[in-house]
Amino acid sequence: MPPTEAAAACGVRLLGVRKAYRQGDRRVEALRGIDLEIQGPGFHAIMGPSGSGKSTLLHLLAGLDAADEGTIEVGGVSLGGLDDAALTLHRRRRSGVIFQGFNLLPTLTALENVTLPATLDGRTHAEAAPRAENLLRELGLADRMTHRPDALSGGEQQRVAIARALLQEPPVLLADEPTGNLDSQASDRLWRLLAEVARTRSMLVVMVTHEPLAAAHCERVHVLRDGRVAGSFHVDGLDPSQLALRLSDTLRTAV
Amino acid sequence: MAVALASALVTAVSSGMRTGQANLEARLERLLGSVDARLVQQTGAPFDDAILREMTLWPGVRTVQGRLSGSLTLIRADAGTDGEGRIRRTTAQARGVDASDDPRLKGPPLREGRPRGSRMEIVLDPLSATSLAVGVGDRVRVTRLGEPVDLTVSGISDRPMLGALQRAFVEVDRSLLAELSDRPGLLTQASIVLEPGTDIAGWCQDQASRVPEGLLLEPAEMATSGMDRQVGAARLGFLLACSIAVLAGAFIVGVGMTTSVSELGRELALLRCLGASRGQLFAGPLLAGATLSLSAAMAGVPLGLAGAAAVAWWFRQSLPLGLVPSGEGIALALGASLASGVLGSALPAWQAAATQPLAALRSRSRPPARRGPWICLLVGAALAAVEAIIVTRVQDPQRKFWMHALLGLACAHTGWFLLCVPLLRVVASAVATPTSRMLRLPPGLLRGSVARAPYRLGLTAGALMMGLSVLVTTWSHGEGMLGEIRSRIRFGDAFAMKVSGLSTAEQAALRNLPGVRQAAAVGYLPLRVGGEAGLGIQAVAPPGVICVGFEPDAFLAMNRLEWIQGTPESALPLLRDGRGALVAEQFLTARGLQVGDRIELLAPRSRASFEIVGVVRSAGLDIATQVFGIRSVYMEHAMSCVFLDLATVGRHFGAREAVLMQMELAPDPLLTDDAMADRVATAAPGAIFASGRAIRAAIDDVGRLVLGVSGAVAFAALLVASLGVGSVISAQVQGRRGELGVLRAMGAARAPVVSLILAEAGVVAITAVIAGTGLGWELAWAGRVLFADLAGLRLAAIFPIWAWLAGCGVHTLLAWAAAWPTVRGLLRQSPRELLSQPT
Repeated sequence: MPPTEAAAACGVRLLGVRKAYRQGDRRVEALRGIDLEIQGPGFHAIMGPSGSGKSTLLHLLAGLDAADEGTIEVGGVSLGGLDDAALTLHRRRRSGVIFQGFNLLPTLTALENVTLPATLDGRTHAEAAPRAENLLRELGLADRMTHRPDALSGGEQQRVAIARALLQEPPVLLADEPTGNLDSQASDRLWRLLAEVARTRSMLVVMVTHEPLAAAHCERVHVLRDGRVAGSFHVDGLDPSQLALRLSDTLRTAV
Repeated sequence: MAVALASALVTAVSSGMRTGQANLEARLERLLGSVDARLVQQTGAPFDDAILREMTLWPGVRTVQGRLSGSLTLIRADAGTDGEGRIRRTTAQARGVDASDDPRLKGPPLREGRPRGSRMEIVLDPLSATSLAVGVGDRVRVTRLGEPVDLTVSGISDRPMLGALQRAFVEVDRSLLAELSDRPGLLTQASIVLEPGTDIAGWCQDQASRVPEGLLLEPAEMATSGMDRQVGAARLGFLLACSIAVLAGAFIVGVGMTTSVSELGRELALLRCLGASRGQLFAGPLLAGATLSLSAAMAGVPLGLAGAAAVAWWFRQSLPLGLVPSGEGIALALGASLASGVLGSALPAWQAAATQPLAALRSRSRPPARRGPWICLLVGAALAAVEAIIVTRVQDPQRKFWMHALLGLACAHTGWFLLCVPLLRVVASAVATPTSRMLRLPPGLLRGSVARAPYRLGLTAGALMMGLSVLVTTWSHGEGMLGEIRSRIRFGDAFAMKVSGLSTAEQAALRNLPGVRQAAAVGYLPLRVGGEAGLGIQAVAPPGVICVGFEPDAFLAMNRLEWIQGTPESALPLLRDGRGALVAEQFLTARGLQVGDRIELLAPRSRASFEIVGVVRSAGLDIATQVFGIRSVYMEHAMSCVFLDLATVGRHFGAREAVLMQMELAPDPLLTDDAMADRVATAAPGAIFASGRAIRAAIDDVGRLVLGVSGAVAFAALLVASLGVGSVISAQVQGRRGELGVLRAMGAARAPVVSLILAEAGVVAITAVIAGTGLGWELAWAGRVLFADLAGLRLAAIFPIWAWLAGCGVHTLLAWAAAWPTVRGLLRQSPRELLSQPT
């Protein structure tokens, strides 16, 4: 696939996207008209203060929820026009998601968790297992395949989650605060891993984070504030403290 | 809700029983009058009414009234016919009573008209009034051999219409009935009213020396002792049902509270972190269970009363007193609910008290200990075996019954309840692979989700099994009994009965009726057994015996005799030549007599000795005599029956009259029961006709009704259990929202996710089906053993396959129905919303 087509295939585009939730009696406008285009492959961060709409944006890209207004395109496909079945296929094949809480199924082994998307897609566990084993091996979990999540450390669980997200080779990998439950060493390993995944597999990896340390591993940072895009900037050799300053500037200028 | 419905059930059943008992007592009082004592012949035969005059002189006697039982064939005095041109005719049981001013000896309550005022008046019951199409003031004619007698209808009694087997009943003057039935100066009962404050039992004892030989003076309440025994038996059954209801309620409350404690695990741990003591955490679920159960009972009791009131209203004709609430039933419902609440919340309370403070800080709950299901298996199997040990090892039937009622039932239920935990894992393992393949889900998902909550799901299945076990037990017994009755009951197609006896001419006329293929005359003669001395039961066995005279060949062609000892081949020749006698099985226990022994029978002026050639039981004859009331007339004070050739009875004791004629009819569709009744009335005026075909149909109807009622109760139990476990299944599904969200996020469509939840509910249902079938079959087996030990009734081991299949279907549907509202709610949520719950 030529680079431009590949970029389109793994890019995401949001136009005038709005999303509101009901929180008790209160209506919370999480996204108030997001316009954002991210070209893949690459490793991008979405940052912003709490309640700025980062996770909501990621959930919409993953097809976990539907926007109230606006257009969302992932890999050149508009999610707004998809029915439930097509959206299910999108989640199954076109996006991989990594959650802060890992979200591994506690009753399945590491290997079964990884093969889950393929099993849901109609392949048998035996058919999907070789690739899943390779992924787990690559991620340093060769000896943990038959363990259930409660026997794995947080870092190991998150690596299992990454393997699961990569199994179907989706063009877009979405990570929502993936190191929120990990220690610093494990977090650093994970960020490097995601950067490597984006580079070696020509994928677009979009990571929601509020940590400058994490964003320092990315190519570009997109900043959200109060449900809108406050700005974007290239990381390009910024160290974490410089990145934090840049982030503050972006937020300040957006006021 | 389940506890509320269980309370409602207990209240409704107890109030229903109380209502039935009160109404029955009221009807008995109407029927027997509220007299204090009565004098009857020990054999039930009529006796001289001269004693009435003597009795009025006895100390303490206020009034004495003579009564005579018999039957009358009535037609309209204007010879009115029905729509088909046939003369309207009815043969009614008749009671002749002496006139009395005592209000306690008044006649039956009247629906219309007034009590009899003269000798030539009659009070009809609604059945006879309807069949004759007459009302108050009309005249009816008594047909008999000789001049007919016309009587004026003074009133119609307020007697409920009870269906096909009910006989018409009329009341006339005693002297008139004595004249019409050719029994002048005789009575069958003297009813006695004593001065107020008299100790009736003591008075009866004091006057015993004044009573001529052969007569029996007894308190009138003894006449209702049969009913009291029945009520006692019903109460016992009710108590057993209550104990099962308490267990079921406890299981349901236990499962619900366990779920609640599991859900609140983190909060409880947090409370421990903040300084809550184990005692405080223990008391919480206990108080919650008790409060919940009592609140549910508060709602259930009025609901049950309303249900009983509705039933009483529906059967208002049979229940003139209407609803009579049972105070003790209501107290029992409240107590049982409280007990089920406390029992059921004991384990969750213990679980809550055992919560470790650190549990609040754990991100996920610890998986259950692996040894838990094994412990459940061992303890459950041991408890289930207790019932089997009681039934097979305890020799004394009475002790066996009480151990079964007080210990075995509870152990069996609790044992199978616990067995559901390991059983659930086995079922999950068996169905996981095919189900997962079908749903394209990893097999470990279904197996694993079951393994994560073995107690919650297993015990849910345990609560759900109760309904099916009740269904299997009651239907197995019901079908067994019905089969037993059907196989034992074989008798003629038609009967003619005349209390005063069918003369040989009448017997011949009946035999020669068109359509009668075969006939067998049966006579009943009260006799005494010679050689009274005995020990134990033999010593207290009454000396009276009913001699049943029958024609062996014709009788055996139409009836089925069960030969407990002896065979027809060896017995019949000796019966025919008058040397042998058959005896009823009660002789085996009461007198220790058996085949080969001799029995001496005594009449007032003759005696004869016979060799016992067989010990038999005749269910068909029992039922026929019951229908005609012969049992109450003849057998009340007799121990049992001796069967002799009818001609032999005539030869030795001079009684050639038959009381009953059994007839086998030709298969002719035109030979209806009405037509046959007409022919019988013509051939033997005064004889009551009864249709054997109708009796058989009625027995079948009653059997089906009993099965229907027990089935309805079982299905109600199923429904109650399902409602109870619905919340648990719902909580289980809700607790796994996050997991389902992950599945949806990974690309699972809605359908397999829904199917997964339904498959889990299905696993619970299958487990409940297996356990319910096991428990039901164990209790059915125990019941069969107890029936055999206590009642001598050997029921066939019938597995009620159709009822069971229906129960399984209802089980599964109800389990799915219980899960469905939650599933529907989940379907409306986006994967993001589902993911907001932890996995």
